[in-house]
Amino acid sequence: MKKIAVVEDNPDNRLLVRALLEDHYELAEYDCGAAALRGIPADRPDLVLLDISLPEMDGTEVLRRLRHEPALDGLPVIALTAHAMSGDRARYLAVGFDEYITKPILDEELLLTAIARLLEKGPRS
Amino acid sequence: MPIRKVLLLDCDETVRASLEQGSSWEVFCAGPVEAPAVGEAEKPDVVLIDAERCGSDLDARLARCRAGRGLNRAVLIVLSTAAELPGVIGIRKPLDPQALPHQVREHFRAARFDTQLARLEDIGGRDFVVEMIDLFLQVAPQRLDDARRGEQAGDLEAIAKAAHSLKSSAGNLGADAVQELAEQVEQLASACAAEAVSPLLRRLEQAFAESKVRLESARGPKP
Repeated sequence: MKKIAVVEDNPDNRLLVRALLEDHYELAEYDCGAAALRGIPADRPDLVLLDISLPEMDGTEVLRRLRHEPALDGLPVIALTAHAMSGDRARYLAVGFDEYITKPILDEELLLTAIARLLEKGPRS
Repeated sequence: MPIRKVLLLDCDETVRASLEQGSSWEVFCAGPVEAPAVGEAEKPDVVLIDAERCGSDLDARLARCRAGRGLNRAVLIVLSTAAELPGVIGIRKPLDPQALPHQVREHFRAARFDTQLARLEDIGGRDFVVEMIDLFLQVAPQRLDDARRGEQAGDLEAIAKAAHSLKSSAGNLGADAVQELAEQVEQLASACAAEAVSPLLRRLEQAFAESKVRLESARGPKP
């Protein structure tokens, strides 16, 4: 079973993501960026779902640091965010996210399809 | 206000044109046979059915709609009808093209808690719904406290962060009024419009109090 790291500070959002994904993937959950940066390099997930508005260190900084880990080269990272204004999608893809999904998650198939596509595609080029 | 999707069963061009005005609805049309497939592909928020066009086939068409994966009970079905149909969410004919988009949206908003909670139940069962409600009712007051503390301290960034967090949590449970007000508070606080934030925060607190009553009722008594 593929492993997904979920980095999300809101416990209700973590619970929802868990309910959507736990039958399909092994999950590792982190409630802040610092915990994710400690856990992900050791845990080596196949994909990361990363919230943007995290306490202390936001998701784009977490992404930047993950991208500097040679061992995590090619790791697909999806921005899972309530930042859903015009232009946000392009902004987050431009800083290196592989996909952008908005919260609240109103279409679980969109999330599942994006995850499946990125896992199938393999490491980023 | 996010754009929502509406599926018209037995499309009437006048109705379609009416709903497309104002850009609040994205409209799809389908006949009764293709409706389940269109529903699965487009995942509408609302299905609008002309009751009279269906005639005696109405019950069968409703059943066929509900049987499709995309049109399960998390999707609101509204009937346009010339007659009073007890227990049915309906809009009386003759339809007013100017009022129709608003009427459909009002029905959608009124049923939003029920449809979203039904969707959550489909995802994780009744216990999961209760857990989601309990978490929201535990976390949301903390976020409102964070926003109030930010207000007292003149810390607009803290207000924006608290409102941002509340926005997605409220959306998970169909608390649309809370979600929309939290979004407005976040935008105003981010834009440093300090004087406009306080009145909206009071409205947000009121909207949360109202959603709490609905959610506690949906949750049922604690053991």
